[in-house]
Amino acid sequence: MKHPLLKLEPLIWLLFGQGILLGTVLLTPWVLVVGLAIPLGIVPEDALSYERATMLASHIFGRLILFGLIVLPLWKGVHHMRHTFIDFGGAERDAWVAPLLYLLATIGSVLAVVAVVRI
Amino acid sequence: MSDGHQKKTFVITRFDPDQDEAPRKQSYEIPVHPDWKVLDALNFIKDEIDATLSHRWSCRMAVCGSCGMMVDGEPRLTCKEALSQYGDTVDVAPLANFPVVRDLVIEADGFMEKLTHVKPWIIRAKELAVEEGPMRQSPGELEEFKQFSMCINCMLCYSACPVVANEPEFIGPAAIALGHRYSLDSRDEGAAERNKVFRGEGSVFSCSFANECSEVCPKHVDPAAAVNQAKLNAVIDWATDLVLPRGGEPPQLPDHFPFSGRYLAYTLFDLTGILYLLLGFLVLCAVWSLGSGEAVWNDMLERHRNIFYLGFHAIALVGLIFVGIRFFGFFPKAQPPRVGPVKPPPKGVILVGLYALWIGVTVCLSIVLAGGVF
Repeated sequence: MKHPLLKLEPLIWLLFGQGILLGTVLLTPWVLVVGLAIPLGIVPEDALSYERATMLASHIFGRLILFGLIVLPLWKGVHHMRHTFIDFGGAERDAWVAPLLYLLATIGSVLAVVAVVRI
Repeated sequence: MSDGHQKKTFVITRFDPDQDEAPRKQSYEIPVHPDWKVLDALNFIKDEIDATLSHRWSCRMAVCGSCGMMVDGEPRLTCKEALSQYGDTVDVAPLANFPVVRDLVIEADGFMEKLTHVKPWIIRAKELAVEEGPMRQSPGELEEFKQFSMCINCMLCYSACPVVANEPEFIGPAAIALGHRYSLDSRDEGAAERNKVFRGEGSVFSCSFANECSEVCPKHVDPAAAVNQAKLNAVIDWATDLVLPRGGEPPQLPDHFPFSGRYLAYTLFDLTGILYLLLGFLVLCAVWSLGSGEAVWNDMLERHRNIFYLGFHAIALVGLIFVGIRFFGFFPKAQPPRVGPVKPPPKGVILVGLYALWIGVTVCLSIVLAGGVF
């Protein structure tokens, strides 16, 4: 039986699709620089000193990109995790697992708004 | 025929999808014969007065199930209803709860689809060989389901059912009765399969036992009885599944699902969901720490030097490249040839555009993040 929450599936699919497309596009430079190059010392750490990071992030485009960097991967993540769960035999439990996963992404999205506003 | 014994006015709901925005009423006053049925009057109107009137009918003896309509607001077989029991004005409309094709003709596709879902045929685990003779059935065994096999698919019950009106996905009275009929048949072995359908989407439990289906059934099938018997069977099936989970039942996934052969790439693609979720939360933590002051931000940068963080980001980078290559390859063919008046560019152009976007944004943002500009 379908959960009533899943009437939102077109919207969820849209966020999921953009999570793959724009999420991948935005995450690649983030992982390259913040995740690898700076910690490995390939790029000097002061590239993202507190002052410079705040300057970049508090610009309207900075905030928008960071918001996308959080929200899009979250929705791609939970939707794909739901697929995986079904593929590994969880179809019968989808009615409560799916809302739970989407709730997680919703909480993350709300926190993302707060996080980019309070920079 | 028009010997003019009596006149009656027929108020008929008309609808021409090419011309009308909404159904409208049209009145016809015609002479009627005392022993006419409602259908005879409709045929008279079509033959003698207005050839544009559309309605369905065939056998004229309450067997084919095609002439069901709302007569004075009640779902009726028009070939079965004597005109004498109606007043001087008779209102005829298409069956309620169905989309209208034209005038009194309704769209029955949804019902036909539901009918196939309940598997209304004898299911055998193994067919009997011809030499084993016919499958015998006693009169007592026949009696168990005979009533439910009298259904003629006239859909009057769907028209009367308040649940169908509110939940169009509800399998509905006739289809459940016909499925249940086979589950009750001593020759059948498909009850378990049907119970899954009855418990599934549009389940028997949507039925609120209004009993209206049985009130209007012209063949005294009593679909409400079938639906509510099916509920108990579905409960037993559900409880049995809880206590004794039955494995190996259809549908069965392909043998090498999900980790070998051609499924591997698909499964890995789905599993990247975990990477993305973690990345999303890591970025959230980073942005949050930026808003919490310099010390917290520096702590965050320091944490990223940890071997686990580095290892995760290395795996994440491989995952991102894998997702990008796989998804960007699929993306162009997922675009419809036209969205309204807008035509997307050719597939090759979309593919090149996606890679240009990916590489372009990666280069530009990397330069910005690494302190190259601003």
